[in-house]
Amino acid sequence: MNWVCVALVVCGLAASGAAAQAPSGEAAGERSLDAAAERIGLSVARDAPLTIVAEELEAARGDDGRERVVFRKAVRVEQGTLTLHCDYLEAIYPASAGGQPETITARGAVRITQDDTEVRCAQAVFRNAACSAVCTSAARPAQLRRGENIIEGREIHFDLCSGRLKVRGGQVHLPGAGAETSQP
Amino acid sequence: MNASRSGRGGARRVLLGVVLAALGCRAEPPAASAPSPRPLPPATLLGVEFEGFSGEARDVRVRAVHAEVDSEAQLVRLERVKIEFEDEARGTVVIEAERAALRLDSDDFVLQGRIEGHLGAGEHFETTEVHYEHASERLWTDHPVELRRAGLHLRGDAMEMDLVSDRVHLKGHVEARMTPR
Repeated sequence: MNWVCVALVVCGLAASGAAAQAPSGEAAGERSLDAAAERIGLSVARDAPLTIVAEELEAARGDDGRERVVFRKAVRVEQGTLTLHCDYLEAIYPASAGGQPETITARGAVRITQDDTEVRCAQAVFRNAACSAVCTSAARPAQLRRGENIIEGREIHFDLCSGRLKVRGGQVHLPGAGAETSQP
Repeated sequence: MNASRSGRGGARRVLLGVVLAALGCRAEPPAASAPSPRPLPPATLLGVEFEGFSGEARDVRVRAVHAEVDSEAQLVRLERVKIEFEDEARGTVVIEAERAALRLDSDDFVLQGRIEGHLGAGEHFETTEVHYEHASERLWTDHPVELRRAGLHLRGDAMEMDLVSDRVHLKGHVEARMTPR
């Protein structure tokens, strides 16, 4: 699915007011997740090293047993061609040992880029169980840009399992398709 | 080993202090009513080895090629130190340092030179200076530190660890690199 198709999906969701698809509950294979990510325009190179650079890191275990890892100041995450910049990055791990973080929160001038795709917002929250990422901004709209095509909104919801987007309070610019759609 | 009985006792207390500190335990303070012993003259110990047992099982071993015990200054200097102990969570922990300076009166210590630690389960750390303050149970270094385990390489220009809350703080040019296995 190309970028215009992604945008059309967004338009369709916006027009119908439908919520983004909930994760099916069935274990989605890595391949389907990768395909979903590509539909969004951001693919993950799972076999590439993941590097996080920051000025500070703090790790502590909370009273509830959850481990909290925080990177602060000039945070940069790189994996393959995917890059994330922000001021603050927090990962919460479940009390049970090992596994993926439950939640990853990036705050402060969040910018995710890969090839000609760029996402900008004030806060991005990734929830593993919900298979979702939500980009929100208050002062300026959250923005998803790919080439000349732009999606803006107060909130952009990425369904990472299905590869669908949902935009709240925003608009879509599709110069190539000569279309512009707004949503209150 | 060249050591008097009392000299060995001093080294034992110090080395036990190191291990307890490394484990995040507080050493028991001396009883208030106990008479303070006369300071011993400075002693040099060669080939120091201390082993601590829990029942039949050895749970700690500290070795140093050279040690100077100054009980008047309440200071012990060790060279080429190797500390091994069993940790419930990590298994066998081994820490090696070129030099160590230990305060007998506070159980504070400084490790210096090339410092390497193997924390069990393939975990490894390296730095060149580590301070421990017993009163606050705080461990820190203002020198670059590297931590490695399978698939993870972590570094920073400085580190602070609160042993009470088990909080770790890496500062300055922090880099975490995770390699898929």
